[in-house]
Amino acid sequence: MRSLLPIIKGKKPRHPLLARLLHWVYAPAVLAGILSGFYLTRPFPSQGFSKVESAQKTHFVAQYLLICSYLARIYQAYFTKDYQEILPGFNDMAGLPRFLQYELFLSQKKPKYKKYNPGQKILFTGLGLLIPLQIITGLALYKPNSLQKTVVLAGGLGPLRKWHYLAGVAVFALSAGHIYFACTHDPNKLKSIFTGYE
Amino acid sequence: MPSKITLGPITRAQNSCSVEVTIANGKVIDARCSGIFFRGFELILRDRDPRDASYLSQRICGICSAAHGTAASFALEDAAGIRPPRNGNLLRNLILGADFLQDHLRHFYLYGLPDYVQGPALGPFVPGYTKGFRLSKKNNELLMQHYMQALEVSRLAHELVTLLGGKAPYNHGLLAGGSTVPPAPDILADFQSKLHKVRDFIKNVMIADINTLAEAYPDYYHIGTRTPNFLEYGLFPHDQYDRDRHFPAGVVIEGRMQKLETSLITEHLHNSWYAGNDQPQHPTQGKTEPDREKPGAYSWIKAPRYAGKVMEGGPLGRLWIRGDYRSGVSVMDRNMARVLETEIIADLMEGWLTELEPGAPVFNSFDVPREAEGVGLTGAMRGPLGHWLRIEKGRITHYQIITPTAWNFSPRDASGQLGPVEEALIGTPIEDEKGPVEIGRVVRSFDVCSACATH
Amino acid sequence: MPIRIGTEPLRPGKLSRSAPPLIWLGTNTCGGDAVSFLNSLDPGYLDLLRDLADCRYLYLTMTAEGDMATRILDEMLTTLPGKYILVVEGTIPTRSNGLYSVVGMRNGEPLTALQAVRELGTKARYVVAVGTCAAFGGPFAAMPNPSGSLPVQAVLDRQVINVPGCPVNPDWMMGTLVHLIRFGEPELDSFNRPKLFYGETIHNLCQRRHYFDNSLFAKQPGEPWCMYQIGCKGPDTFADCPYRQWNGEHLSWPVKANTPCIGCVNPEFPDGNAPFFEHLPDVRLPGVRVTADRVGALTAAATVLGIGVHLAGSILTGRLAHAFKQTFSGSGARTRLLQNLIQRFSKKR
Repeated sequence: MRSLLPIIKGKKPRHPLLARLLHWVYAPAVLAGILSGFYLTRPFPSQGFSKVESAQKTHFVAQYLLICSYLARIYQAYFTKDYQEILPGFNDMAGLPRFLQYELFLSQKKPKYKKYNPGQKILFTGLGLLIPLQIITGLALYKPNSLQKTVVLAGGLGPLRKWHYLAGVAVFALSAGHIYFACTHDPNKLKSIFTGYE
Repeated sequence: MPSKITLGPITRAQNSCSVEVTIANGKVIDARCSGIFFRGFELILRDRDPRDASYLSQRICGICSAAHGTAASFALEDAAGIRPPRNGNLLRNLILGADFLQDHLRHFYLYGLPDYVQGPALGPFVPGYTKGFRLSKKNNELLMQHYMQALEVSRLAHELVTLLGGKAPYNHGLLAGGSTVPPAPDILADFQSKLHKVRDFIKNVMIADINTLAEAYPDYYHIGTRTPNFLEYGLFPHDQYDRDRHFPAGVVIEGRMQKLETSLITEHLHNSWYAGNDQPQHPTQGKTEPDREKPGAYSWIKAPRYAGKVMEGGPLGRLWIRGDYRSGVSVMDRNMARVLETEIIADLMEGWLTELEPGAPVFNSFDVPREAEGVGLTGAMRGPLGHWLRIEKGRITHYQIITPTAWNFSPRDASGQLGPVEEALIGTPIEDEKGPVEIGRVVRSFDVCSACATH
Repeated sequence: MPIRIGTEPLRPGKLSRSAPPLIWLGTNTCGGDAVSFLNSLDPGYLDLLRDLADCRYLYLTMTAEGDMATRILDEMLTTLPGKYILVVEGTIPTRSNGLYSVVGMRNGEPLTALQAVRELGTKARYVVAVGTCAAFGGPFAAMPNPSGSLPVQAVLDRQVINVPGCPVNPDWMMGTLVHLIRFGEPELDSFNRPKLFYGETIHNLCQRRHYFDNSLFAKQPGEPWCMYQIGCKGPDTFADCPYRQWNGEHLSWPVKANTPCIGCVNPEFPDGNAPFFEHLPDVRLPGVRVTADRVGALTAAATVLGIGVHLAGSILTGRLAHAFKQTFSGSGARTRLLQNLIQRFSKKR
């Protein structure tokens, strides 16, 4: 019941309901995409799937969920203008050294930020740019016939597959970092992605 | 007054090459052989996975690709210190053997025969030379019929390669570690049946045809002559341990047999379009830096020499060393030896088929060495073929290839010694300078492969 | 012996009156595509000569040589512009003004492939690039491209029909020629390849597709399973090899021979498909070459290491404990338990 209090009080949530809903659509989609994607690259039984067919199905369902939720999130960002909170600005870049000093345990003073710190902003923006790259390369691999123009641009399916893999590796690294910081930095803020409020 | 003719392109030579001859008193008094295109495989193969070489190096040549696949496989096996299983060796012999049949058939009929036989009034048989043909009308027609049959039979020989290698040219069945198609009875029966057809044609048609040619052109036993200087690395290992080969390795210098000593092989760059010093190099040290503007050079082909001597390779050399044919070194002897070798190989293949063990392994897996050197030596259709390989950090860092046609079609070396074809051309009588049909006969008796020569 | 042909003298057939002239020019080539073309069964090479085309120039088998051969090319330009089909086999080298491939002599000077293809290509009715080299650059334009080789399309400002393959399957080339002669230009894809032969991936047509779906993989060449784990490029490769197979008799193809497809028809072949026995191509940055697997492994290791070090730092400096202490200042039973745990842990330090 305590979590309803802020709503009753009329406090503005840290994460609006739609953002939270979408987060919980694309987060599992990205995770499933990473896991099934790595299995598809190196289909060894130790990687969690019994056969390629199920990994492919997982990958393709994840693909559709990701595309839809990503587009919706972009739409939301555009209308609510919350991309202003996500995209790193000049001040963020200027404050980056101070932030890094703290995160690398060189300084004890924790800098204060309005919503996201520069690290978060860079990480979210990175993911925001990688996901469309994954969607485009992935779709071209998924439908190489109808999207042959994209294949021509990439110089063939081989290079396309390479870029999809490399971008996948980058998404994995950023997602792992995101999950780590989310779980360890401030459990209050972690809560807010579930409830909306700190 | 001597006159010069540049015959380029020389067609029917697996892509084209060029020859410049000087003629005086109706005879060739000087000749320069020239490779006229360059691709640079020795550079392209660098920095690649060593396992790729047996497939990629086949792309050097469209007609003798299996020979490159074999040499590359031998080189990597040497570097990795492994042997193929017994079946693997036999299957590789069968693939290479089938490609030999294909190649010799196509060379004899499609490339060589139009020098001696007048084709029908139909492209690409016209235009052509009109003088210097001596076959009777009946025999001319008969050989043209056989030309058309040979198209089918040589295709059939390539189907043999396909049965065991997936496709031809550039089959996938030749790789370090062995081969890949287990000898199932149905495949063997298919292979055997097709091989019989090819062998029948060789025994009943091809042998008769070379005799018809030899009878009509007996003077070609005295044209294109050379002292017997031959080099061969050996062809078709007897077994997986490769202790000896069905066509043994050896060197013939002025008619005398010697043991092969590969350290005596060097390549000269003096007259070739490659940068670098003029000091001849062993292929383990060889360099390939193309420089088309190099003054004085006239060919893309390097000049390989054995102990400084000009060596010839090919079926005649192999049969000479084997002791099967030692009657002479001339245009017709080379053609004759090629046909005889085709028959011998077809017979050997029959035997290998029966030696195959259904159910036994065909491929031995292995780890690519991090640092190693290897050399792969084999007989190819036109003579000795060697691949020299060095691996560092698991990748190729050095690859040198000396092809048969590099030996045969080489330009002059640093000391001015002529290449074998250049030597053989000198003294060739030219009846009509406007239609020098004789030059092509000498050049093609070496079965020049332009693609291999420059690689 | 059961040889079907060769008993009739070779002369132009009934259909040949309308046959267009054909020029098959070899540039920087191994001759493999012309050799493969000779393996065509029905129609075969002789059918081409007799009925389909007026084969004026074919570097591999033509009788003419020297200036006699080069004159045919010159005659084409003056007497039959816009009529002939030009087939080019091989790359077009550009280094040293194209002298890395010479196709003949003209007025005592070498005639380069670059010059010949530009001249003949401009005036041809159709230009066909046969083989991966002519179509996309292929092995001879592979790193470091020592001859400065380009595909045919790159030196011609006009439509070029690409019929790739290393070598080309005899059917693909014969089929394209027949299409051009009898039915006009075939339907082409975005790479200007006839859809008839390059319309679907090898992977989707593969007989061993169900092994892939069910994760039954070969661990080494020579095993009868799916070749995906040893580098099969079937999923990246548009060609009908599994259905059509090789050569004239359609007997086999690389996967049937228990080896991986190496993607030899691809525009990126061989650099974008090598190593042949690895799943992913090398990653090349200026001065560095690493395998894709290594990039993955290094990134994973760096991620794990980074998180591990940061976690250790957070614990040692007490930041982690601090963060959790601040959060759980409520009064629930579970929260209290957590608080106790955190306090005990902090005290120990």
